[in-house]
Amino acid sequence: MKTQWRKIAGDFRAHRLQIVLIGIILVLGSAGVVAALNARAILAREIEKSYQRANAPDIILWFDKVEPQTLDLVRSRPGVAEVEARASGFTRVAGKAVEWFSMRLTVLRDFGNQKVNLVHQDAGKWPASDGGILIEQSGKALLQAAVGELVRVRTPVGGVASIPIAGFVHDPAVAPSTQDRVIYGYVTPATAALFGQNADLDQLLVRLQTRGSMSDVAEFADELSGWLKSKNVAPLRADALNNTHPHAALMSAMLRVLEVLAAIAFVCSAALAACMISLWMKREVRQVGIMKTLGARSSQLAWQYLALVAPLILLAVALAFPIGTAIGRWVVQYHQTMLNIDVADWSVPRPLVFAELAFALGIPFLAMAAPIVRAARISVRQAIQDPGIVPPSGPIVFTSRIIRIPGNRRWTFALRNTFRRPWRLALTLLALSAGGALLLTAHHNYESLMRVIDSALASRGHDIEVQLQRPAPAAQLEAVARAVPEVEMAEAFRRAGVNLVADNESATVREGRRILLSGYPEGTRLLTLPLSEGRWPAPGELDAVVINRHVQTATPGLSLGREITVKFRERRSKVRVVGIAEEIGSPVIYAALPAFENITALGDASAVLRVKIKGDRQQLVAAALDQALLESRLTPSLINTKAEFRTSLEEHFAVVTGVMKMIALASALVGAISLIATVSLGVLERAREIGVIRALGARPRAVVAIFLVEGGAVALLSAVISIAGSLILARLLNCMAERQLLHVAVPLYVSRIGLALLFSGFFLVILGVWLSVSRLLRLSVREALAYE
Amino acid sequence: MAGKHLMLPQPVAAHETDMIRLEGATKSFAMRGGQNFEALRGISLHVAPGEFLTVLGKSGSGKSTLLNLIAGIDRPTTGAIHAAGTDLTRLGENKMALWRGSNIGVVFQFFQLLPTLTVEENIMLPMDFVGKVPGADRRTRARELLALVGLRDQAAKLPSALSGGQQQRAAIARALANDPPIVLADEPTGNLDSETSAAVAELFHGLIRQGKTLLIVTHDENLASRAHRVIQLKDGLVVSDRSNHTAGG
Repeated sequence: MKTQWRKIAGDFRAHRLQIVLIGIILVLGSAGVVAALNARAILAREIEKSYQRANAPDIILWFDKVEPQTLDLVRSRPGVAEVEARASGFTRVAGKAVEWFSMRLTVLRDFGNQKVNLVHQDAGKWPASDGGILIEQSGKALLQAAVGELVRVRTPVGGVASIPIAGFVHDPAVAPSTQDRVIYGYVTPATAALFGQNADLDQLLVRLQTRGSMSDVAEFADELSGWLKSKNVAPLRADALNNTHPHAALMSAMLRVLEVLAAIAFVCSAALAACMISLWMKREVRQVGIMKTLGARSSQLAWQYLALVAPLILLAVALAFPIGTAIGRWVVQYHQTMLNIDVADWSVPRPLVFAELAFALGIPFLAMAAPIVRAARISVRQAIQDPGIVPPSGPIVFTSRIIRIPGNRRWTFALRNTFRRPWRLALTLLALSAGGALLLTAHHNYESLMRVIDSALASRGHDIEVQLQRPAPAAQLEAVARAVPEVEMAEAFRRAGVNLVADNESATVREGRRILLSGYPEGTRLLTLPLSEGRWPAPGELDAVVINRHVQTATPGLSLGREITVKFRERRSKVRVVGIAEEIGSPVIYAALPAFENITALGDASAVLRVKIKGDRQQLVAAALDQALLESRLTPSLINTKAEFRTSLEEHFAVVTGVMKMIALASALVGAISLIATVSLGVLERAREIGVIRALGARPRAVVAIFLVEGGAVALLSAVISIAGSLILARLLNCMAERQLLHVAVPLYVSRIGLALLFSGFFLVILGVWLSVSRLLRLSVREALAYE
Repeated sequence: MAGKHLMLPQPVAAHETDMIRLEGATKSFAMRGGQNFEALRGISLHVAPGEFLTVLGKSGSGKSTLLNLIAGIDRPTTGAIHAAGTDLTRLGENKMALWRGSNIGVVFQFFQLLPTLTVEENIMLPMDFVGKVPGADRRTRARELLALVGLRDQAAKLPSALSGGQQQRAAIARALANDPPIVLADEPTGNLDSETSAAVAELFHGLIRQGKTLLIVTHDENLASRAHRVIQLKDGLVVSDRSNHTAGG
């Protein structure tokens, strides 16, 4: 073996602990980048493709009943790609567990020959035959039932029908059942009839050959509607759909988070690699000098050190890629469940793999190049006479003027040492602060959202809301509910789907404009939403309504005092917006019952019951209420408790915050490990200096204190930057949630748990520094003074 | 050196006449492969208070090891060491550090000033560690010491702004910070030109006049010629111990 290689092997042996430490940092950094980039690439592609594979409709035409000739007629229309007739409605279902869930039931004629809004087999029998129900697979966990087992389904007349699960399907166009707390069921018309549901198909789902802008789709729907009218098969309504996944906003937010994570992982990884290798090379200066004295040329030295670090980098990359790929796949799997998407292709685009490879190999090599060049350029005399105490490279004259702790040289010395290597400090701060900021942001954001939700729920007035399959007189509903134990108050509300239309607008309703009109009894005590502007309508005010902010967001230009036209079926009414309410949920227009009647003319037919309970046993009262209504032959289709609503929203946020928290924790951990590693190497670098201090009379605890102050200063600085950065990032994310998700103001809440975690990291760092210095203090003063 | 802070009480020697006393001190180092290297092989040495002693010897003869044992920087394998009235073999790490800071001034070949502290702060740091000089008096004392070594006007500068000779003078001032009775120096002029070496030698000579006990490892003939006593080491043994009658002071 050539002597040069022997030296390399010897260096590896002598400093194996530090080399392993550098290797671990390189592996973690590169794996983080690979994981974030891979997950983002796969998810961005598969979210799009998964929804495309569902062949979601562009238009829905509503009829009393779809006749076969109507279907053929629509199919023959130029521009129409596919048409399929379906029906859908809400009922309640229970599996093995006692709990009942709301179920959206879709009726399909032929599972084997679907055209639009395709669902496909996940497990069990396919295609579904009469007598069995197919369940969307994300509801499996809620129902706790397997293929072949019976589920209980409510019939519209208050009965319960037991029906076997024929199998599970995947419907990539719906949100997971676990998030919305709604089961999605699919049956044939004959099965629907078995438990009393309407077997008539009443919708036509239309897929266009070419989908243009939203206006183009609305225009096409309008023309189609008019044309059908001319053929005497006029639809009741035509809805132009956005054709986006119900969680499109969440998905794009999640992808954005992954992009940011990839960027942060990139910066952290690059910074750490640069920092660690630069530290390593610093220690080699004297040896470079010796070898130059012996005749080594700079290029020979460069190759020698390259050969020392190259196997480490190659090994790190070889480990980082499978680890990163596995983590990336795990992130995709997590989101596959959370977003209910099909991931058909797990491959990563080849150019991305090359880019990742270039990064993982390039950054450490580049980081190494600078100190090698520096070391190679140093004069032999300088290198050999290296006193072992590394001179400061930064603006030490400046820092020596501004950092001065009166009466305490030890602290002054420690704090100035913190700024001794400004670039290294900057890199360490960057890595630590990025991880810390991300960790805090995830917690601030999550807790801000949950606080807003809790405050919104507290101001709702009611604890349970029941929707019925069929409307009933208000007095009857309220009487049934009030007889249920622990019910404090019950009020019957009414509801209707209305459209906001401009005077010159077509009959077609764009999806964003269909809004729920909620009628509340005058003098209600269960509608207590806070108003951000205006007032509640006065008694007898027939044209006054209150809208929530979500309506305002969905309808640009809609402001307080504005007069709008509300369309219910063929009835148009002009109303004035007198108040804007803060509410989380869907867009709702609130009108007192006389005004509601004025708009809808539906009469005394309430389909919604709101209940406030005495204690906190929401689930038990909801079950009792359910039973009481059934016994009165008033079948609920949806029962929502406050707690369920909270859980559902929490599940939605988990799509983004869950992954943020996990990766944030990982990056903060990597940051802390890196600081410990950096300090450890830094301590070794300054071993001789420690020896000198001890020779001057410093006791071991004084030496430890000096280094603890240094490490503490870096950790504290990082914490301050992390907190500042997290406040900015969390505010941005809160604004995004405010605009796109909740439509209520989301004030920033500083998370105590986040801060506690951050400061736990702080103490971890202090512990690491203490361990590193203590290890070095085991050397005698003589050994420390002679340390190379 | 007439300031009141420089007049600290002198410790009482363990033996009436010795400031430093080694009895059969050995030091061996374990080598890789299980072998031992004996750097000192049973040295006995007595140094009187105020004595200036130089140690000569080739590389590996045990000079620096001897210095390290006396400074409490390293511990003997066997034998006894008393310095400034204390049995060093009985001191733990903390007590040793405090003892060293109070009783020994160390001057290194490469000065070893701390780069992030100003010259004045470098001198005050040992006072902080030991706490012998009252806090309010430390700056005054540092300035007096700097004046003593001719660096009064360099007090606020960082070590990197000083020449090699100036740095070594600052290092000598630092060694005197806690007014130790013993000053040890390992090749203090080894990294200086002859003119600067002479100035530093003069400075050491001045310490003798103040009653310090001085033990210097050196190859510098000029410096060695001023010593009261010269000992020569070879292979860990004292092979020659002679008084220098030509020494001044």
